[in-house]
Amino acid sequence: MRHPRFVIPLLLLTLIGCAVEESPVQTAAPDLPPSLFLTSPPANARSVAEVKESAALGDEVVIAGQLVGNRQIFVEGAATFILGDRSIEACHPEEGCDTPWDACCTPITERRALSATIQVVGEDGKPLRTSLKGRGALSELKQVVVVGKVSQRSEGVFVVDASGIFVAGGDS
Amino acid sequence: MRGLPFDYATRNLGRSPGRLAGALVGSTLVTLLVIASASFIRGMGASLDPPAGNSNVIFLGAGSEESVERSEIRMQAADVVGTISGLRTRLGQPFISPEVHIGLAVRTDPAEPEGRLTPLRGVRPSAFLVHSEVQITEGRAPVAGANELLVGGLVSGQLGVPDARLGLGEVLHIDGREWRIVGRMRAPRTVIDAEIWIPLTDLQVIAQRDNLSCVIATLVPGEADITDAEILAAQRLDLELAVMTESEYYATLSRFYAPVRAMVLATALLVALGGILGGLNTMVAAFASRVREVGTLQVIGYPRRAIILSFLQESWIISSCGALVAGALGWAVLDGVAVRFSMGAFGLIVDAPVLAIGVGAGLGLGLLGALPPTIHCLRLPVGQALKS
Repeated sequence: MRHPRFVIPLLLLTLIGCAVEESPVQTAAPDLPPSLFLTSPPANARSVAEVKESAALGDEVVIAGQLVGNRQIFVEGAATFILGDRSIEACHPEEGCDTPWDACCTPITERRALSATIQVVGEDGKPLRTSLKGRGALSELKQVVVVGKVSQRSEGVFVVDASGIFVAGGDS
Repeated sequence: MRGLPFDYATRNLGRSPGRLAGALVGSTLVTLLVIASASFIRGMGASLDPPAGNSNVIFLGAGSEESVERSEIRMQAADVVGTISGLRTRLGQPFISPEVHIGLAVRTDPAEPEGRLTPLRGVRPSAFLVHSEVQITEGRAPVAGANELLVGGLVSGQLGVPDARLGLGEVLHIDGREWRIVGRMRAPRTVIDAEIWIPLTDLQVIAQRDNLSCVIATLVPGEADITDAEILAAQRLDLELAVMTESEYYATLSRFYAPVRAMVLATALLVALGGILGGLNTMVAAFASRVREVGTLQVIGYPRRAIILSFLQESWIISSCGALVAGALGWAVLDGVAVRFSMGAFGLIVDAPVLAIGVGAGLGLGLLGALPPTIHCLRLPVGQALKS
């Protein structure tokens, strides 16, 4: 070798650099339960209004609703969305709402009374860190049927941990 | 290349003292205007930027994301926000600040028919945890129920009074009552610097409201993020909350004022263009009388490039002197000057980037103002130049 005194230190530096430098750990977004999206509508579905009136904390429920009632239906980065009663009407563009699904033409107090929060939780009981938008054909204004358990229930709060979601219209 | 000596250019500057003075004043004015415009854009932009490393989230009323002044949320929202795990705490105190933001007429003299609309922020002591950029420079924080105020550094510009008028112990008149200034604060390059802080309950009494404008909380990066806040807002539909990071909120405000900045930029460009055209006009007149000199120099043996370079040196000496004078004036006079806008105020910023823009504009002026007439003079044949 022509210059051995440079090669060995270079090699050592390279080895040290490779040892110290670790590729950043990529935390993959948790995947949804494979059986989450249902292929047929569950039976005995009731409206959001009916379920909110009668269901107690811990009850298993089947709710038929629509993704409407809030400007932001999906929580970006979490498996959570707002489910509105099918009686909430999406607004026409000329009615001045920012989006059709925020239903601003319906008073907000009425929208809140007819809405529920749906989430898909992990083993820790917290919503999975992955958005549901676009998954299983979920999008704003879609009609869905949700199977799950009431996990939070108090005045103005109604949260369901979903175990199954049927999206009407499927992949359309 | 055989070049003309540098002192040839410097000596030529003194041939017409009047023209030299005029060119110097013109160059100074144009550069000063460019510096003023740049400092305006920079100051407005900086005041709408959140502090570096900001990990605050704002809970607003749904539908009021673009204006915290229009937002209304229930008082219990502050307690609900406290349930987020991953909030920053210090000695058991969570970094949560429930606030009311409102603009009210403030009078320095009770005889004034109308006060000046000034942004007031109703806060609790936890606000100083959340807004770490705020420093109390004199006095102390106000106490609830004692008609006390904490005044920001730019409020004097907002109210149109000398800063000494807002010293400790001075009185302002709000809602027909006297309020004593017990503290001064600074939060440079933020909207807070133009605000008056008042105890939350006192402001709610004045504004006759029992709700909040917003709740601002500080999250610990790695333990909580905006998604946690959004999940809470989605679960608590009853509170009708919208959530955004403080950075996003100020970005929204910044976009709102983008047309103003664009207008100021356009004005600065027009001023600079006017300066260039004026410089062109001056240079054409100056060089027209030196056509024979140019021809003589060519006959002696100096190439055209050397003559162009010498003329540019003359122009650059004038423009660089003007730029330096303008830079010094801008830094001494404009830096920190409060400018009222909308309901608040911001300070002009004359810092290194602004000075660089100004000086660069001045030098560019020297180049663009001298080059065309110089080339025009040199296009004449030598013989014709000698006869002119």
